[in-house]
Amino acid sequence: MPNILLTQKCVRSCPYCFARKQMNENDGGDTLKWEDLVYLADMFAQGGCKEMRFLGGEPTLHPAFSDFVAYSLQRGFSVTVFTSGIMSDKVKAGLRRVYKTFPGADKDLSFLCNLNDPEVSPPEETKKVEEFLGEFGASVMPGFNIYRKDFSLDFLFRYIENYKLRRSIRLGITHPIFKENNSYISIPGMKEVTERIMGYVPRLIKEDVAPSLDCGFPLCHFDDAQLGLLYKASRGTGKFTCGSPVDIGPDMMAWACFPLSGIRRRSVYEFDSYREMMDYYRDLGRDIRKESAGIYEKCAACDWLKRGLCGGGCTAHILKEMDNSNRLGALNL
Amino acid sequence: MKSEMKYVFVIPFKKELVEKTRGFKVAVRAAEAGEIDRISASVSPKALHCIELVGESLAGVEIKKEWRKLPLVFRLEKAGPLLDIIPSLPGLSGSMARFYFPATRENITSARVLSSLMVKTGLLIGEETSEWEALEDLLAYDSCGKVAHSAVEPFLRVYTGYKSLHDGYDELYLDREGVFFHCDESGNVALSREALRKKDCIGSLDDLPGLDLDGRALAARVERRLPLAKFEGCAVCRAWRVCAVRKSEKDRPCPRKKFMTALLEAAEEVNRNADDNI
Ligand code: SF4
Ligand code: SF4
Repeated sequence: MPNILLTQKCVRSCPYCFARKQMNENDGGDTLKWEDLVYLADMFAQGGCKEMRFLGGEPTLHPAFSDFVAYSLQRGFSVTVFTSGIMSDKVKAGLRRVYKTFPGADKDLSFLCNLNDPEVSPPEETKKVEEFLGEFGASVMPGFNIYRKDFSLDFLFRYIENYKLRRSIRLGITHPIFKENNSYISIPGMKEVTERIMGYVPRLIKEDVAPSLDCGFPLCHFDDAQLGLLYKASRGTGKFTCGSPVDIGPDMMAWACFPLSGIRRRSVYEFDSYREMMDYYRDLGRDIRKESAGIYEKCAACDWLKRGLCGGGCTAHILKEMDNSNRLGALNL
Repeated sequence: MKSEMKYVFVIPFKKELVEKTRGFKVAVRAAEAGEIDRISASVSPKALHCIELVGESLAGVEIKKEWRKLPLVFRLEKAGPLLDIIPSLPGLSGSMARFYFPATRENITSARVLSSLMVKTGLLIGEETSEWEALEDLLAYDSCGKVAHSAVEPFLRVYTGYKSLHDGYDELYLDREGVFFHCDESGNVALSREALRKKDCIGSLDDLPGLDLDGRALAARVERRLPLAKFEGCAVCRAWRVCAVRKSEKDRPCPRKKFMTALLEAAEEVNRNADDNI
């Protein structure tokens, strides 16, 4: 499913930021044009894609944000907005109007709100986030990006209860961005992360909050008992493969995903169809994995990889390792 | 066709003017939406060319169910924010109403957005237009778009009338001299919107024979074709058939030529495809 970056501007400066490379290379002045949104809506509709996923930076900073959401809903798409929750009163007023105009919008419009622990966030930011959650909580799925091994999810449980958020948590693990210096969880560090997540699973089950693991978690980091618990906690939806996402920038340049944003960028206009674009970036992942099947040497012979149950970890780690061992030349990047 | 039916009087909605123009086609300017019902009750559908309304923006324009089959033409300054328009979309897209905007950059964008939402739009493309590149881009969307949308005027007029088109598309704007005669409240008649604004009138509805409609029509046709008499400028421009401007003597090289040629080619393509499908 493609993500559309409405703007490169952001209101936070998270140390793990996936989008930083993108934002650094751009002065933040670019915003997606109406013409391009119409083009993407047509392209997606023709390709059978029924969802618009708006990202940034902070997508709500786009001057026509509420109109973009309304347009997409009117065209029959469901809309997911990836937001920090920090937004102006004007944007919130626009969202109120969207809900008023589309009475069924709570079904078709959702926010994936990446929340930072208030303990380590500026109080002003936390206040704004909580105001947003207070008003739009019923449409919010909380998300958390793990960039330190000693993370805590306690605040998320509190938020879910206090603001009646959707009862699930998207857990992302931070990955190295190709040729960048961001904070991320190293491969050896992942084991500690998965153990810490497992520490929360009984509480997740007890409080009926479903964890949703983002791509990049290796299957073999969990034993069978843990997988069973995760299966129950996530209401049977867990997976350990890469969804071959595509990101589309405000300038209509596409790339595979943020960690791979420096590689094989092409304008959306170069593709004849939605399918061709999706296949192009799926094949990029396959090309990389032909050279190196996964984050471990053992991935090449792994049964779970062959059976499609594990993707062999995140491609970003594979690329980093290939770069460190001067093997990138094998790839036509 | 009776010769009167060749001519269209563009009149403000006044009972006396409707009476005086009986037997002719009329385009009636409504001062406000409240007049629409009264106009459609006073003028026979055969004689009614269109009902024209002038306004600021599309926001707040409501098309009642009974108006869906009426030839309503709105001339608006701009579309306005989409969230203001969406509540009226079912009426707007399900009717014959068409919404014209000056061809500014902002309005060209709005035309695309509205067209993708099945609203019938049009752009006023004339001598004063300067956004040729954006128009060409919109034309590409309109003629090649792979997903259903409502065609934008004047592109649609050029595609569909292409085979018999010799004088451009300006009749869409009720602005073809010798066909449309513009009247003021007192029944004074001018040859164009602009001439009426300048009070440059040729006579009155009280003296219809004195208006010499046939003579005016002939003179206007000659005037329109005059630029084609010299072997230069518009006369040697491929796009002259579709172009409603034909003022190449004023500015050279002609800034419209690239767009008008693209419009001609789009019409050729659309018609080729239609012929292939017969
Ligand atoms: S593919 Fe690699 S990461 Fe995944 S389970 Fe197998 S060995 Fe582990
Ligand atoms: S030269 Fe310019 S004004 Fe004349 S017909 Fe061609 S496009 Fe129109």
